[in-house]
Amino acid sequence: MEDNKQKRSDARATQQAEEIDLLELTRAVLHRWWIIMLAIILGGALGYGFSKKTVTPVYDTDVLLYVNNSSLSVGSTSISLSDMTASSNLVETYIEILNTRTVLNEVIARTGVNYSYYQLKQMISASSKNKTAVLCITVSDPNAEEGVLIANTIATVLAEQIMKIIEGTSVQLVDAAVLPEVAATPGVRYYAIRAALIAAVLAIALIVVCDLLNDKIRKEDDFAKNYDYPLLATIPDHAKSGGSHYGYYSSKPEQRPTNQSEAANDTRTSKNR
Amino acid sequence: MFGKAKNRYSSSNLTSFVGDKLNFEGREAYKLLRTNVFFSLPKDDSGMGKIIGITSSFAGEYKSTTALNLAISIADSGLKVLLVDCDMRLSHMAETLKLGNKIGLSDYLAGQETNILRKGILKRNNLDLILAGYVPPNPAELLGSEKMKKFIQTLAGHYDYIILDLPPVNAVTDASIAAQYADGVLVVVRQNVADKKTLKKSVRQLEYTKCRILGFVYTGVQSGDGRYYKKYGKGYGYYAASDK
Repeated sequence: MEDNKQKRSDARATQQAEEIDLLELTRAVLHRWWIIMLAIILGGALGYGFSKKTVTPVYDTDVLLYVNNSSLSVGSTSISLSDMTASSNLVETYIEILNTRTVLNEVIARTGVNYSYYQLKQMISASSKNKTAVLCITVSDPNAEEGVLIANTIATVLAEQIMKIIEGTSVQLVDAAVLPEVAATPGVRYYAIRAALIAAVLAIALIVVCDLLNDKIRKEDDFAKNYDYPLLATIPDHAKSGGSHYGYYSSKPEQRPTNQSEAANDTRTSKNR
Repeated sequence: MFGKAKNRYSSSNLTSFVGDKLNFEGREAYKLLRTNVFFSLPKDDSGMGKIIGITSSFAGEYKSTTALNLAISIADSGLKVLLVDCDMRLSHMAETLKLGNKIGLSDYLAGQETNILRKGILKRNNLDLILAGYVPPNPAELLGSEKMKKFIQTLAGHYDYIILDLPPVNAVTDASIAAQYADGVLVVVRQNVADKKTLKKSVRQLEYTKCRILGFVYTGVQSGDGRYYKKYGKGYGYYAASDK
């Protein structure tokens, strides 16, 4: 009998250590839905306001160039596979040429934009389109029209420069830059939604952590789980539910204890903790 | 935001939920407590009344409310009850019941008063009360004195049940000392106020002093958690009117 009791309380102890009641946790989160709502609204507003102030939309403009190395296929009418590979390898070379001071400074001079070499270099990215010999140059510029101008100027300057440097090469414009309609970077709404979602997740995490750390007695199960003593009665919160008054002293005003005793109560309560 | 109950720690608003002022759910709950107490501490043929101690981990867990309501509930079942407030340091009982003076147990034990028994309180002939008295410098010594022991033994011969409203067990040693006189102790636990760690400590303390713990009384339970009362309170609503 004693042994059984011991075993039971041992089992109880281990169970208690492992158990996290998911249902209870969900309920705790749902119970505090207003905190999550508040977090979403606050996060959304913050994200909106912040991104509106700091984030400027950037427009991407593409220009496509075809690189043709005629020296590779002298005497041949068809373009062989090796020619293709060589051309796409050459694209890497062209990208390096694009990033040179000579090219970019020339672009700045011709367009008259107010950027330094480094600033412009940051704005430009180039790659071979789908591993073909087509070179795609992208200009990211907060000013869309300026971006188009830069992209088209690059195409011209780069073609000239490549033909000057590498003999027997020709660079053809495949696709000129056009004015982009939508910004490439996410807009204010994106940041607002992002911030709202992050805020909601943080709020839920906070609620969950607080709930897990809450050591207070909150449900009837807490007794049976931890003690062999029975729960004799559950008394509802009278202060809240007290609807029906049959009392003979309901007509009399409620007498409050003195402030002193209340203060004494407070000190004792804090001492206990 | 996670501790709504904190602002209601004080038991100053105890008046509003005592005895007849309780609503249907409240009275039913105390009746259930009474029944369970009767089962765990049945009256025997010795002629001596049973002594029930009521304590908690903290102040403000509705300990005195529980003691008072249990006393009322037992008195209403026709038995003779005495409620003794042993919380000499911080008792609200005199204010709660609007009794003029605070003379009580401490004054008797200190040898200053002999007549401390208040008979027939709350319009019940079979419900008597002894207040805690004025705050003495040495409550623990008074409660542990030979005089107290004899006093309780004498009283036990006159009542069916004696309820000792003890101080919180974690605050001072008074509770453990006075609990020695009780045949069984109820531990009042208020929802969202008592924490598991402190409760464990309280129970250990009571066990250590060889008190017989009858069980827990779970107080201040928000209606959301007490599904039982929500369900039955509504279903038997008509009962509330006739139960008066």
